Amino acid sequence: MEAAEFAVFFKSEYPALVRHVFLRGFTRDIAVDAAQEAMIRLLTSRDDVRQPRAWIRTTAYRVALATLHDEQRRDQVYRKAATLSWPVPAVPSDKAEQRDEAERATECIKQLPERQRDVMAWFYDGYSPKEIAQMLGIPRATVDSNLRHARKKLKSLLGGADTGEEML
Amino acid sequence: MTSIDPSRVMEELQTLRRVGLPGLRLGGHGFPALLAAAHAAQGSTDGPDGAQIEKLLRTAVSGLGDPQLQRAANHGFGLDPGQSHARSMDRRKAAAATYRVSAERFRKVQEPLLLQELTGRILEAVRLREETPDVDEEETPSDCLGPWETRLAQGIASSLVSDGQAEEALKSVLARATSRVGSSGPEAD
Repeated sequence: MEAAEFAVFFKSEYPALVRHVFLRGFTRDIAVDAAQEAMIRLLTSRDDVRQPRAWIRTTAYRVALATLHDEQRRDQVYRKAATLSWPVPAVPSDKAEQRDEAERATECIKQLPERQRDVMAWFYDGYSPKEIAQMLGIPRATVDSNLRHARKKLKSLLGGADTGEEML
Repeated sequence: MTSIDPSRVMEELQTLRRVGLPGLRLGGHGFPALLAAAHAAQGSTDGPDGAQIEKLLRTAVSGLGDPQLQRAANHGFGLDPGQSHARSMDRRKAAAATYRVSAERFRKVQEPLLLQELTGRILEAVRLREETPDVDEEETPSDCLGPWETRLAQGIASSLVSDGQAEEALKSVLARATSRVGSSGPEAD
């Protein structure tokens, strides 16, 4: 991938990639580092990466896992739902409302079982249930079921029905 | 209708009869068709995978119309209290005893029938669940994000990474990639 082409890809995918890793149960710091490492590997890869969006997500997740294992060995961090702590605010104060909603959403997502979080992380990235089943190597019915329950829970926890918008 | 392969369900039931419930308590790995059926039949993914499969199995056994077959299933899978850790052969012998046949004869005649009946019960449970969903689940989830969810997903991403941080990250990534591949690597704009 050429540098110019990569820059466009990076800008459109990087925040979502950090979100993906973060929602799968890692700290923001690990998510940021893993996302950057995945991007570097994509840029320096000599192989023809045919599905770069999926590739960087899978790679970043593996990097995050490896990082976590290193950190666990040093008894610093454990991959539990509780590690989904909200990061230092990264948005201007005039976007406080948006941040509050995002923070509440993260608080709710961390209450979901691990598999539901994994499915939601891919779903938020625009992948269909069929694609998510392929990515996670689990049956399509399991994805459907996890997705249905996760969305239902988030809807009830966040009051999605009160927004007046169709969620499910 | 959720796509669940009956032959896979039956194969996994056969494996489960052999390894017994302890095989599930390790996490339910190796039983994807049963897990998918459990999720679909119970309408929930909460709880350990193994526990969900065990619940599905117990429900299917309790749904067997023939009491003799039901007793054989309880013995064969080790569902009775204190029997879950019994050896596979001992469980089969106990199941065979309900029919007053040898373990070998039970394996050839009654056991396939039992597995077939259980498969039927499991698929029936899935079908019934899908035909009578909870009121809240009548809204079948669409395959794509709704507008509220899209806004939420964008909000999470932008709260994690501001535009300025993304710019800095891009510079850092380009520089590190360049140094990693040396002079033959891509040039940073």
